[in-house]
Amino acid sequence: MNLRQTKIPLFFLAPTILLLTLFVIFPVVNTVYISFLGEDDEFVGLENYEDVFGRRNFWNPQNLVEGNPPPYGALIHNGIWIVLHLPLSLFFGLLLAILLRDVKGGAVIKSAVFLGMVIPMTVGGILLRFVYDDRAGILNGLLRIVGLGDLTRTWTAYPQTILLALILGTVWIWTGFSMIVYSAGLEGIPKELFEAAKIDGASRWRTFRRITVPMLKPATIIVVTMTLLWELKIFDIVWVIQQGGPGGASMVMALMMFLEAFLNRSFGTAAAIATMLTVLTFGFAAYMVYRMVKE
Amino acid sequence: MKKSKALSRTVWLAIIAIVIILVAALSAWYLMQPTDEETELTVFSLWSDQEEANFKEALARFTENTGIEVNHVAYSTTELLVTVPTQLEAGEAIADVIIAPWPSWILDLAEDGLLADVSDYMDTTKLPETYLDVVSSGDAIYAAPFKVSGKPGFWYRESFFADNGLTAPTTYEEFKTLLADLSEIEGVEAAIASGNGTGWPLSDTTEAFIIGLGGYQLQENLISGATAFTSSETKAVFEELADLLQADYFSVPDDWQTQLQRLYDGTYGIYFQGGFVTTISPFSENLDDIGFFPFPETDGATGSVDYAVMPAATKNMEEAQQLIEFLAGAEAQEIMVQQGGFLAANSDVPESAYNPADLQVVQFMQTVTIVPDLDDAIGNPFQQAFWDQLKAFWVNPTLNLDTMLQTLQDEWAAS
Repeated sequence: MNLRQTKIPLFFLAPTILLLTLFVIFPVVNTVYISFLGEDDEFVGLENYEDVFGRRNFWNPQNLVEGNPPPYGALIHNGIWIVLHLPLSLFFGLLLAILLRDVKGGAVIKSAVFLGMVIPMTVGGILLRFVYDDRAGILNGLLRIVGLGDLTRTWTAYPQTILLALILGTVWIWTGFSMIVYSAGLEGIPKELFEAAKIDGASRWRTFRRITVPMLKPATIIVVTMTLLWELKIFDIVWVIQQGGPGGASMVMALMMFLEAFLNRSFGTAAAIATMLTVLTFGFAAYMVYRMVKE
Repeated sequence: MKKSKALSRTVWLAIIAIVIILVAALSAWYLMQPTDEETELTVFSLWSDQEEANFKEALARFTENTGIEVNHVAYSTTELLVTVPTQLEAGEAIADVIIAPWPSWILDLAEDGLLADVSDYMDTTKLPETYLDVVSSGDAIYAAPFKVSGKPGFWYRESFFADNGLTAPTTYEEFKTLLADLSEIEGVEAAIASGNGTGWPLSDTTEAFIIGLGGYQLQENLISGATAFTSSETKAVFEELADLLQADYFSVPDDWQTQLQRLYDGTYGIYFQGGFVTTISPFSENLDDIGFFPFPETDGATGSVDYAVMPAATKNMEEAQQLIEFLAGAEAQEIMVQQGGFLAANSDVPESAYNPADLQVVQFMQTVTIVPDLDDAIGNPFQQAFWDQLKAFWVNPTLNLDTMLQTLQDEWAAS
C-alpha cells in the first residue's frame, strides 16, 4: 500500500476521530479525573467512591436481605432491572417474532408492538403513569372487571410496587426491539434446515431447540447487549414517574448521577457514579462484542 | 488516469461542502447578534397559566414605564434548579432576572459569585428584615423580595361545611373530630386532600403540623440545626402525623391542581395549601364559597417569598437593575396583589389592594410569627430527600420513623 493510499483514508477518518476525541474520549477521561477530586478540586483518592457506597440511596442490601420492600439502593435496583426485564423482553420478543411470522396481518401487529420503541421514553413514562393510575388506569380497570377491585391502587405511588411497575411497563416498551431483531434473525435461517428436520421426523419443539435457538444466537447476543446497556442507563422513565421515589424506591444510577451533579452540584460524587456506570456498561459491551466476533 | 480524475472530483466536492457549511454557520452567528435597538430582558420564573398571566401584567407596566421589553419564560421547579446554576457556572446568563423561592439556593449561587448585589436597587426600609436576612451575606443583599405566598391553613368549601353541619375547628381536638366527621360523609373519599408534584404540597402540609404541634420555634430550630430531626419533639410530630395517615384521613397523593377540583366537588373535605390557590380554578371563580382555617392553636405560619435575583454575568445590567427596582417596589407588587393570591413584601402596598379572600390571609398572617419554608430555607440535597421521604411516608405511614428522620438529619448536615 503506498503512502497516498494510507493518507487518503486517514484524511476522511480525521473528522470522525476528532469528534470522537472531543465528545467521547475527552469527557470520559475528564469524568474519571473529576471522580478523584473533592469540592475544592483537591485530590481525594477514592473518597468519592467510598461516599457513594456509603449512601443508602446507592447501596442498601440490608433491606433486600431482610425481605423488606425497596429501597435497596440504585445499584441493586439496576441489577433487579436486568434480572427481570432482560429475560422477559427476550422471551416476549422471540414469542411474538415466531407467532407473527408468515401470519396475515402480522406486519400490522408488529408495527403496533414496535410503537413502544418509537415513542420518546419520557412519553412512555407519562403513559405508564396513566396506565397505573388508580382512577384512570387500564390496569386497575382490568382488575375491577375480573373482580380484583381490592387490589387497585396507584401502583407508582407505593415503594412496594413502583420498581416492579416500572420494570414490567418497560418490558412493553422494549419488547418491540427484541421482536424486530428476532424477526430479522428468523428470516435469516435457511429454510432447508427446517425441511430437513421435517423429513427426519423432528417434532416442532425439537426443531425449535436444535435449529431455531442456535441459529438465533447472533440475534440474541445483539438483543442482550443492547438491552443490558439500556437497563444500565435507564433514566427518563424513572424521572418522569417519581423522580426516583417514593423514598428512593425507584432510584437508578443514571438518575442519582444527575441529581448529584445538577441539583446538589457535587461533581466529584456524580463523576464517581458516572465512572462506575461507564465501567459496567463498557465491561458488558466489550464482553458481548467479543462473543459476537467469536461467533 | 481515470482514478486520479475521480479522486480529484471527490476532494473538490468535499471542499465545496465544507465551505457551504462554514458560510451557513457564520451567517447564522451574524444574524443572532443583537442590535443596539433590540434590548429585551429575559425573566425566568416558576409561574405558568394564570400566575404567569398575572405576572405579565406587572411586566407590561414595566415596559410601559421604561420602554424595555421583557420576555417571560416559565420553568418547572427542577428545570430552574438544574439549568440556572449549570448555565451560570459556565458563564452564561441565559436570563437577566430570575424569580425563585429558595433563599438557600440563592445564597449558594451568590457565594459562588454568580449573582449580583441588588441592595442598591430597593428601599430596604419598606421590606421585612426577615425576608432580607436570609438572602444577605455581609453587607450585600442578593435578592429582592417580590411577593409572598402565605400558607395560612386548610381550605374548604363553605357551602359544603354548611350543608353537612360542620364548623372550622379552633382546637386540635376539634380538628381531629372534624376529620372523623368528614370521613363519615357519603362521597368523601378522605378528609384531607394530599397534593403531589415534586413533593412541595406534602412538605407544606408537614410543616403545618411541625409548626402547629411543635411551635414556630421548632421549625426555626430545624432550619438552623438547633434541633435535630431525630429529636424526640420532632419525632412526636411525625408520630402524630403517622396516626392520622394510618386512620386514612389523608388521600393518596395526586396532582395538586386536580386535588383542588376534587376538594371543590366534595371528594375531599379540606386541603392544606398556600393562598395562591385563590387564583386557580375552581377557587378563583368561587371566592365567595371558599374559606380557610389555620392549623388550630398554631403560633406560626410559613411565608414563602418569591425573590428576584440578577445574574452577575447578565449582558443587560442597567436594564435588569431597573427591573429589579420595579419588582421590589410598591407599584409592581400592588399589581400582583390586585390580581389575587399573593401578599406584597413591600409595606407601601395598601390593604385596600387585596381582595377579601387574600385580606383574610393577610390579617391572619399578622397574628402569627411568619417562619421560612423549611426545605426552601435548608436547600438541596435536603429538599429533594425531604420531598422523597414524605412521598413514601404518606403511602406507607408504618415505615421506620427513626430511619426516615435519620435520613433527613443526614441530608440536613450535607446541605
